[in-house]
Amino acid sequence: MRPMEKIKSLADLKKIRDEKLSGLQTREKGEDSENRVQIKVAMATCGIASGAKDTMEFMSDALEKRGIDALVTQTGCMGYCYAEPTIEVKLPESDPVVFGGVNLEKADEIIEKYIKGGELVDGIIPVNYEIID
Amino acid sequence: MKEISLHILDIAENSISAGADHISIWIGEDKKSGMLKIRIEDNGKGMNLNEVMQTGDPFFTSRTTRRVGLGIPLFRLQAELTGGSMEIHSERGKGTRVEAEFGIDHPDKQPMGDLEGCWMLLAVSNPAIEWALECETGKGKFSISTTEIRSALEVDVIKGRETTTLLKRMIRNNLDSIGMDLELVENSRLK
Repeated sequence: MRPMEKIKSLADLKKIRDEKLSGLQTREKGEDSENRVQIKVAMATCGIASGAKDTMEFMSDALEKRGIDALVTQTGCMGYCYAEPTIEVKLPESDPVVFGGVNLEKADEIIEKYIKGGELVDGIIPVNYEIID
Repeated sequence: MKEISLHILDIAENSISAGADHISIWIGEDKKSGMLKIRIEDNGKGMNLNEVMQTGDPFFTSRTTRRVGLGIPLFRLQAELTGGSMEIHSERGKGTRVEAEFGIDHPDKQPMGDLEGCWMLLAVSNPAIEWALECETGKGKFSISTTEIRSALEVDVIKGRETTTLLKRMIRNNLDSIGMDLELVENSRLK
């Protein structure tokens, strides 16, 4: 592949992308992370071996498709290798919750029930104890 | 782990943890020697000789959340199963280079899998890092980098489903045109 052709294909890509995006209202909200749903997918060896890549791709795609303003990032091993893929979900103004065994079905359930409705679903790994002073 | 691309993703995660801001992935198919060569290179904090030696030990890890580190040993195992090998070159303060060779036609060689998906995932979720991907076969060469993408698309960060889907398709088309077989398999595990 010659460099010229390569740039050409990126240029093609830009053209297609611009055409597709022109009709859409692009959400360029501030990166105000406090008011967004924040999701961390554990992507260490244990996570990847259990399918964390598919979980992460599904999460970013599905959230965007369903119009939920979310920030999906990756993190290392949280120490729950037995329960991979694990994800941490932080809804605005609430404490983070860690879910284990998040296959695509579970990911979908988490989006529909927990992220959209705040309803807790099975698979929560209790980690966030709060100490009463 | 059932695909080589997932091993690459895993090894690249180490480069991220090492604080690298430039990570490149090179894949070369050498039909003459019958080897598939993979190189993951970063400019992270690197390791001293002692630490490099310890990466071969599954019960060594620098992290504190658990006591095992299987990424490198698994990658090495998969390479050796196909008559290949894996090497780590690293220097403190300079970076690390992981090189592996797989026997292309060996029955135990894992399929490459979703290479473009892994690379895009890394690039999109780590926007502060410059990512490069280079693939070479007897038929030709394809390379792409996040710097190139950002300047061609005139964006500061690569994001959005639309954009990443198009990019993945473009990378796949180019890999197809140089005859790189990703041997994609249906992922039944998550279904």
